[in-house]
Amino acid sequence: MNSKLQELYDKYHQNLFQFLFYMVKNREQAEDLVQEVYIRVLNSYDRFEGRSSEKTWIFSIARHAALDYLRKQNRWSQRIFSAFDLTKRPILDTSPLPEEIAVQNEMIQQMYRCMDKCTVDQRSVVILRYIQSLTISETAQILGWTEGKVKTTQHRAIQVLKANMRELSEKEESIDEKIQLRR
Amino acid sequence: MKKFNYEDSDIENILQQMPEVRDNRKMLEILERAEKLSKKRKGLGWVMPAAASAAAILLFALISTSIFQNDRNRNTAGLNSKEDASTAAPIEKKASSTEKRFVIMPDQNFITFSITGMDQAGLIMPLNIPVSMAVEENASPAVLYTKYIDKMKNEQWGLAPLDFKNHATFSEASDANGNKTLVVDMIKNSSLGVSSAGTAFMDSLKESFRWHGYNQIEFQTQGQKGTILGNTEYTSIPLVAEGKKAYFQYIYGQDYPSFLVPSPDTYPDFSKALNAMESEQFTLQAPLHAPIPGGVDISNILIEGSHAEVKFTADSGLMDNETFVMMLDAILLSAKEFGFRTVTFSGAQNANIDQIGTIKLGMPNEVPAAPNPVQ
Repeated sequence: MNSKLQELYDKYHQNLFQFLFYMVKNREQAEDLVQEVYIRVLNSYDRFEGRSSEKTWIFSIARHAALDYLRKQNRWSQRIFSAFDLTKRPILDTSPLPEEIAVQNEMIQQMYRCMDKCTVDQRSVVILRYIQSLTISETAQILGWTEGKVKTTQHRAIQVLKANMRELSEKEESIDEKIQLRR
Repeated sequence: MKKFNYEDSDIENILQQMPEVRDNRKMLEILERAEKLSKKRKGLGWVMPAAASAAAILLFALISTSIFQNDRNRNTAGLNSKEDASTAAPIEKKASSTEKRFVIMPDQNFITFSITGMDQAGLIMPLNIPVSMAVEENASPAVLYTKYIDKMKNEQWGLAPLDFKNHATFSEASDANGNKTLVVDMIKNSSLGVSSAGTAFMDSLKESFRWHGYNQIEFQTQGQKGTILGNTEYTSIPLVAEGKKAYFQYIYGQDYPSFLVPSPDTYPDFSKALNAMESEQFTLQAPLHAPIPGGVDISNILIEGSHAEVKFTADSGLMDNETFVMMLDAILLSAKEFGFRTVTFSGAQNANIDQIGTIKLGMPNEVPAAPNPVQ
């Protein structure tokens, strides 16, 4: 087996997988995408030659693989929604939660759903900064951005998540009240 | 869940508690499959280029037939040659994102407006952001300033409104030695005389006109010498083009453009200014950010007269994208502030690139005329 590939696996695999899982929010899809990352690595390693750090390079491949998948998804959902003439998409995805999230407390579950409301850039930053605990400088290197852009995107992402978490908790409260009234 | 009043810190805490997710498959299974699929794709590598070539030939055949057909039709219809030329004109190549620059170059006519940043929280002094508009006309900056002031889209750019219109008229004068003076003639009883906006106006004037070769600003009130701005009396002030400044990135928000702004402080030399621009050394707060990203280190600065060579360490992760164009433009602008005319960027051998956007590495680059081109 390719020893370089094995080395990359040892160094980055679980982080790459976790990054892709939270980007596409589906275990099977993350499994396919991480596989796709290694295929792209094998096909382009000759051309890599240290143009950026290895970590930046492999994460950038992962990010692009996730982007390709999300774009494809978006095109499909747009076609489906326009075919059914639905003007509005659901506020939040109501598909079943993956096992890892379903066993967590309600706040974590809500946050997982609210992450849908972030742009792809915002989601990338949130995953790297908070879920993977990378520093601003490491995140900037991986994304090939300035630290300023990371900070601004992070700030905006937190505002989006805060607004949606507030909205969700208010909705839940009013549902609880209605249930109590019926009783 | 009954919590409504989530704060930023609550959101950050919850995100930090998101569970770790692991891939439970075996390494061998994943990597062997990847190798197999990679070989399969490489084996099919010729199919796509071949298919693309076939498609290109087919397309070419179709287009030439259609052009030939059109030509014949035109000839028979007796259409004029001007129309023919426009149809045959080559399609202009679209500029790639990395052709973008954050500066105006000296071969362009332009006018600069220094505008206060919108978000001033946490800053000791108001931040002036110079934006420059390239113009076709040859008129003096004094004339262009009044003419183009209304074209500024301050709000759209995350900058404060420019409220100085109708308070003054601008003209220029020059002496026998060719020294240029900007003459600012204030209206009588302008509110700028007694409010802090007068000080902001003064700062904006200095920062707007120092790019245009003026030696001083002379103040008048309805043609009479002297004026009062922000409760201080002025007759004239000197203008210095080289402000010994560093340059920082200003981002008001994600939906606004990024600008390069001169540092609030001055620095004793170019090297110290660049040091302040490095991410690791950066001490200021948002909306200001370091233009030199982490992972980029300057190992040496060599100075020869009006030429400077900025050498990066071999492992500096330079890339050919907009972030690094902005970094180089910020360095070039700071070089201008210290009187350099040209700058060579060298080192960063591991990056294996010889150009970032339109800026060539390893050879002298002219310093720009002014920052932040806007339209």
